[in-house]
Amino acid sequence: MAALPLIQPSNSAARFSASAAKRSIFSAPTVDINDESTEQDLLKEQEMGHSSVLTLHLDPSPIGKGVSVGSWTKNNRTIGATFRPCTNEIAVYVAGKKAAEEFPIKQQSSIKDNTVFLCQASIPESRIPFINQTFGVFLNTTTKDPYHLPEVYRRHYEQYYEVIQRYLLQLYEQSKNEMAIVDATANAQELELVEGFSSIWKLSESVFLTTDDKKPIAFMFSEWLAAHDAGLDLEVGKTILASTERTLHPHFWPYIHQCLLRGMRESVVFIVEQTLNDETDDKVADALEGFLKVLQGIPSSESFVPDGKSLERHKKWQEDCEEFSKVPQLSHLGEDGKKAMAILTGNVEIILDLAASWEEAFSAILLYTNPDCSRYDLLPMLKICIASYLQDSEETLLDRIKIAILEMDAIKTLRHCGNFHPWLVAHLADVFQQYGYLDMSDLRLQDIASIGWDTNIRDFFIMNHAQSLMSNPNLWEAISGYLLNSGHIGKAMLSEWICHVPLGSSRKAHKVLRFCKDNNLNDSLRSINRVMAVEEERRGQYALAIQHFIASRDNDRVAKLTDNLMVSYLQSGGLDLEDALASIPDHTSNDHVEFLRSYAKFHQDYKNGDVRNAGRKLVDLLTSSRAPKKYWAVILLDALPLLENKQMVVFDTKDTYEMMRCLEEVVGSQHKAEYLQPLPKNASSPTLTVEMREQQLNVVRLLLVRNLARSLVHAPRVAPLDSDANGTMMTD
Amino acid sequence: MSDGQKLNYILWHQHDIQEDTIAIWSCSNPRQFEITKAEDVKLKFDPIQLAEAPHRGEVLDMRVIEGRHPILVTASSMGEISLYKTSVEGGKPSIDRVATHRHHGFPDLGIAEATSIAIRPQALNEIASVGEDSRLVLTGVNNIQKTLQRSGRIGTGLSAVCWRSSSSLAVATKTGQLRLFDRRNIVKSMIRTIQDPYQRDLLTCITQHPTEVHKLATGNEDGVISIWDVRNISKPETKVIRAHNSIIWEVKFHPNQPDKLISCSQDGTLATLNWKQAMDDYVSDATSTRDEHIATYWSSIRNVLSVNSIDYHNRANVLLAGSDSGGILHSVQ
Repeated sequence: MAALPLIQPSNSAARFSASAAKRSIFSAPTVDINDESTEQDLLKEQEMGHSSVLTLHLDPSPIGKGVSVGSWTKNNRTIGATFRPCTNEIAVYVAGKKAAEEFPIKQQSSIKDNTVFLCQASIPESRIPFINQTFGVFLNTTTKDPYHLPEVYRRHYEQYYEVIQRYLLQLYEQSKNEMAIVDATANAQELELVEGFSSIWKLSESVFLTTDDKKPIAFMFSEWLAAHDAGLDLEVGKTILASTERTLHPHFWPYIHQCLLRGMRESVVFIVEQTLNDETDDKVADALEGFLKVLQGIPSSESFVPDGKSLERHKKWQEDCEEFSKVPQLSHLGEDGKKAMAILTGNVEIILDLAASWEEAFSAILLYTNPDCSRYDLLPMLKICIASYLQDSEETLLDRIKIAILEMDAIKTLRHCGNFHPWLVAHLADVFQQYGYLDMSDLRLQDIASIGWDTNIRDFFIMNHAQSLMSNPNLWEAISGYLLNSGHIGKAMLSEWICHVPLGSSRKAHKVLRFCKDNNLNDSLRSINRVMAVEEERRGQYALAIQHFIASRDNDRVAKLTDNLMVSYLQSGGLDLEDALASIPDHTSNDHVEFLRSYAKFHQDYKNGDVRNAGRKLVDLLTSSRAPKKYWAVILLDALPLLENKQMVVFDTKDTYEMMRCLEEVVGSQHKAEYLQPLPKNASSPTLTVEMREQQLNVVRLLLVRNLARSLVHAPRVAPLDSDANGTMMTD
Repeated sequence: MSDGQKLNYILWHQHDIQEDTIAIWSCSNPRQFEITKAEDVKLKFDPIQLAEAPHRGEVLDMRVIEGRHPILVTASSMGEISLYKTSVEGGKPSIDRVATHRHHGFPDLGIAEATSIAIRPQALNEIASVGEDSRLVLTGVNNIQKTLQRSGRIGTGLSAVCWRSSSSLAVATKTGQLRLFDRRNIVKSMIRTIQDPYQRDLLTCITQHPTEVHKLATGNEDGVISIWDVRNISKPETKVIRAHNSIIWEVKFHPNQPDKLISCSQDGTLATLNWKQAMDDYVSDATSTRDEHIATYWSSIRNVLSVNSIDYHNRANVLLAGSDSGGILHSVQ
């Protein structure tokens, strides 16, 4: 009994790690099999931080412990993989190098050899609305120019951050609810990711995209720090306020210092005010009063109004600070009080000493030494902070992204964001491109030019994002929309990929077809129509199948199906051809359908008693070559009741001659047997010989001869087709 | 496979059965989601999911039979009609599937989608369903397994059904036709077929006027809405109303203002339009642009995807719509 292979989803899909093999952000993802990698190896690779090539580790490894790759492959083993294009999924399995018979050594097979690993970067369900909503924002913004009607652009663009915040809120709420441990872990990972989105997006917005030039970056950065860096525990502040001897509280001054570093003027002023009110020691109270006075002058976005005097006011305040730092009463506030004043006077050493992170230090240096600093001149201050807080090994990816943003290096930002998440980099690249930050002549983009990359960086990342979504076919509209908006390479990819979208229901099929039609994806339209036609044919819905085959320009299949319909009609007589063909648009030009339609109209006219028009249509079918020759015998047999019509002569001499010619062509042909095959069978003799079939036509022959004579005597009046004329009435 | 053999070849197989869910939401606290007119963000509400249940296949249509314990009836892409009972036990709402039966399929060829369902008005005891198999089926609410009547094959694929009264039905076909049936014998009693002489696109939806029994509205895959008077079968009553730029998925008469129609479409918009204004002489040459002068359009700044379904709460005057983006759109009319 053959063993069934185990289909085993692998967790390894989530464990993408970096390889240093290629460092270009434009490398294509590859899959490596690493049999001896450990968690430490993975971490080490991640620390390397070059995740341009995705290495997929199969877990559990198909190669047993202590087995070398060499000996594993010697036993007729290799790795096979099958790619599933519609979902970007890979099935990886242990395959044989040669057929078992060709391999001399008897092979030992284990369960590891029969394991199929399904590798797919799945998307959490909770993220789906976020993806769809940001896709909506993308479509609205990507077509707009930020410099033309900037307010309209901004209204749409700001939706990105709003959608991120909304999703973040949802995740916070979810994390509060009781959940299974697995869900909680997944939720925490998602939360961390989206917090990253939120933080990077807002910082990019402040540095690269703000149109609010009047607002100095120093204040925007401290606002960003307050919103996105939870380094300050507000609970500590509450505890301090609740205590009786606040200045003696061990956290009083550290809290004040942190608030000052973060530019939280209101908080620090409130605490000092409260402390001053309750202070019983007059000397300390005097010192606090002086301190409070200084604090009230801390630069804020409100104090930096564009009246041209902001810098003057700031200089004056700095002088006040310097002055207060030197007054003896400050000594009543102790060393910590002096440190607080050192922060306010912009003492970089003290700031670097007190700040908990480089962001905090950067915010304080910016705010107290150069609050009016332009976003283009941040580098010197940034370097000081990074040098003090970050060694190369300590730098996280998020740090690298933030630093790149503050350096105003759009390309570096995207390069690092590319390692963070495809969603983030795609949307940032789109907005950067619109603001003109991605110039292809930039030297740092020359590696693209040198390899002849025929696209721009924005298109590349949008395509990359679209590909990352392909694991969920329900996102096909967003994927298609992104690919459609990523240049001609994206469109080419789309036309290939959309053919693999599972059609599922007829509603979805219509949506896909409509999308292709609206976006001129003609090749895809044809392919999908062909798939749908085959499905309809399988179900016996011939008219719908014909419609789809016509759309796919598959004339041979249309011919086959019209034959099926005709045969079905001839055999059962119950099929309403007119009804069956109604779904095929009138303007469709296809000879086979036209024949069927004319044939159905002939029957309709005859049924309605319009024998004249019925006769004209019948002759037209024979003479215009519209009817295939194999149906001529049937059509001639259909003429019998018209030839027998006693009230009028339906066919004139010319028509009769034509019909006689057709009759002779059928019975005189070497393919006679084939041509006579469609003739209806009698109930009495279900199997007809060729001779018996020919006898049926002999009746037609006789009637044609008689009609010829009648038409010579009573020539029918010539009337236009479809007129009301019912032919010449017999006078005798 | 025997010992010593590896896998030589594997293929991906298309998994056809999609598992959907059916959920009940509470919308008592209008705060969060919004639908906007002319890009203004004003109205917000916050739906809370109360309960959900699995559903075999894609939900293609859904109706409610009101009562002490409302019953949801669904049509599925698996050709099944399902009944779900909703109840509140111990203050906790629940939804449970109570019955499912496949009513649509191709003999020997498998599944045919159940594309649309309609509940018999007043009596509320029968469900009419139509499917890809081109059949109209009547079944009892109390015994869904039992087919009361099944028509022969009608045309090529049926897309929508509605009850005109408790004794007659209207069915829309993929060939752009309307077919009317007498409920007493749907097998033999197809009353008439109506075909728009100029529009042969697939009719996607159909609805009955709330007070005038002879009036029907249909939407088609080209974004056109037609109003029909079944007493005059030669052509639709109105001129071609090009309400949307893409497939219309649902159309309904406004319950409080029957002169208005509400529709939703693949183009990501909802429309409320005054169809009475379009009662001029029938015009065959439909323009390619929307009839914006008679319609008001609604869309969300964050939704560009298809709006698949709409419903109007006539007491709260709330218009709801569900879209491909997974959002529930909302507006007060």
